[in-house]
Amino acid sequence: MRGAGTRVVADGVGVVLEGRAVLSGVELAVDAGELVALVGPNGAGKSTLLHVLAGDVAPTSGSVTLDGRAVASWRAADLARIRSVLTQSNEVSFPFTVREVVAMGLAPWTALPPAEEEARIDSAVDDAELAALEHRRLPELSGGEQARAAWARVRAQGAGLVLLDEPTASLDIRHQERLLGHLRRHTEEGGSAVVVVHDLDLAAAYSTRVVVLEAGRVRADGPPADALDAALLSAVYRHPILVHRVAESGELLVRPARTTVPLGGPSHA
Amino acid sequence: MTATVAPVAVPAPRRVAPVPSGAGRYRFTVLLLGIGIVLLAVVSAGVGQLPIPLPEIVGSLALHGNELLAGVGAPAVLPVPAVPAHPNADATLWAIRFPRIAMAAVVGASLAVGGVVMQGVFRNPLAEPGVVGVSAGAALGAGTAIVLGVTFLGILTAPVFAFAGGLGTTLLVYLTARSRGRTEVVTLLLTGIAVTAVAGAGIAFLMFAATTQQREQIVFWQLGSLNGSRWQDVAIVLPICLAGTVFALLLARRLDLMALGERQARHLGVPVEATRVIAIVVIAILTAAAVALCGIVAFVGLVVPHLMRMLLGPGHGRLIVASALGGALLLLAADLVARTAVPYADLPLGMLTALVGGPFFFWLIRRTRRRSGGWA
Repeated sequence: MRGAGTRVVADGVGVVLEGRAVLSGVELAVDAGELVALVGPNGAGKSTLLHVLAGDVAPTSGSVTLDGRAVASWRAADLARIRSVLTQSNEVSFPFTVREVVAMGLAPWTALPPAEEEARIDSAVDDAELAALEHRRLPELSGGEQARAAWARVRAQGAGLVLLDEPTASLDIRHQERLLGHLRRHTEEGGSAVVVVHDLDLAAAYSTRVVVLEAGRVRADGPPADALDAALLSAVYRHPILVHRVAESGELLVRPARTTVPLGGPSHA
Repeated sequence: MTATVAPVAVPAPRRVAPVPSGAGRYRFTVLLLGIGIVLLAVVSAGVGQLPIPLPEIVGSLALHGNELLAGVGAPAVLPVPAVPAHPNADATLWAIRFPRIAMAAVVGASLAVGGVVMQGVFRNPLAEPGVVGVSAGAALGAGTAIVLGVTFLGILTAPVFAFAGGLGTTLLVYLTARSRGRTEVVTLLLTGIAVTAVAGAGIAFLMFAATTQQREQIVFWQLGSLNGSRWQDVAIVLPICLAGTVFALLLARRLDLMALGERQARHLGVPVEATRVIAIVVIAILTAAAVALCGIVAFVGLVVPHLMRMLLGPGHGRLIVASALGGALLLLAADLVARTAVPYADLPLGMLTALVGGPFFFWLIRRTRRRSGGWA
């Protein structure tokens, strides 16, 4: 993935859907080099915030700008070259092959030489480990494989700003780690990413910044070590959450407290 | 837990075979369909109450070709293998059979391309102008023109009214059958039933209010027939069909992306709203072109694109071209049966296509239901 990082700014964003305030007063600026994890319980407004940043939902109040221009004033074709979006569900209504779907990611780039097109598709297909499946039709694949095809399409699009809504939900551990590892490299190379995740441990391991949402408001915003505070998380999720810092590496481990004793003996925690 | 984890060995991805683009298969299919159309057109020209052997058909074509060449001052170079023997043979060919053959091909292509575009923009392989009531709406428009006796647009009056009716119903079905960017099968079919019922009531009222002669014309619309096609009909439908197909081809790439979902297509730079509007106008134009002059011929837009999709995959560019040819071929065959199956009778073409298309549609619905595990 290439492309300079795009600066996206949400300023005082509020969204009212069917009379209910889904987001209120959200301030969020994402710069090049940042990998922002949006976390929070169900219904906190994570997906809605992502939709607003993507330009799919117009905010009821406040504004969203990309590189200084209101998101609504961008032409869809220009926008597609600077930001890509991975949505939660990615059902394809006709039986395209994996490779055809990945190639659709290149749609915004109309003047690529064929060799580079092939190279970009190959690289996205290989990165999602879909080479063996690339000529299979999408409906024949498992949910996780379809999700990887959608991710490979977004990767092939090659935009600087990547917005992902629960990209790891149906992936196995290997592909969860690969996807977030890739995003991390993308941001280290100057790109930017906003990703909605439920797994706080993944957020802690890969993001450069965590935004905790609760009931449509930002409760915490900062580096993982600051934002992922045990007391705050336990209150927001209404469940006790343990945050543990590994002394020698500084690695942050986050997991919910469990009351049951695992099968096979008492917990060693 | 250690800070460093042993790297997992990743097998290098292997590309065993070159990427099959399907281009060879596509070219072969187009070639085969083209040959099929020519063969069937020649057979169709020779068969009928007055049988005309092949050399005479070629001879008649060559004679007219030479006349055309003489008209522009060129020498008559086309060889004439045989002169039509029967005194009426030449007239039969040029006044009756050739226009009818041309009409069958053009109408078949229009219906098939209209089906492809409709399925693409509805994101549903079961959408078809005849099934969702757009054809009925177009017929209502054409019927209104007949009964009101309006002729202010000359011979274009009925097509323009059919277009208005088709556009109205396409919009209606599109706006009511969709929810959250896609059209569920049940909603689509139920909307089709409702729209067809209302259009049917309108047509029934027109028949009630019409004179005997107008009534006959309306019945003809409902049955669908190519009987009595003239060159001026071809002259109306051919440009519409060509324009519709060209616009459909311009939309092809966008329709591919729409398969990902409307939001996803927008994320990839597709101006979704504009695409929808153009697609709906294209559907209405192509349906009206077919319906205005030969009535409701259902299921062509369903059967042909489906077969082509199975053969060539869902990419809309190839699908539109192959479906246009396939639709032409199918309707040529259907019309040949319609006018020769029963001696001295012209069977309604719409009846024949429904006879084949109905069971096919039934099979498709059952398969779709099995696949998606419900009625989604």
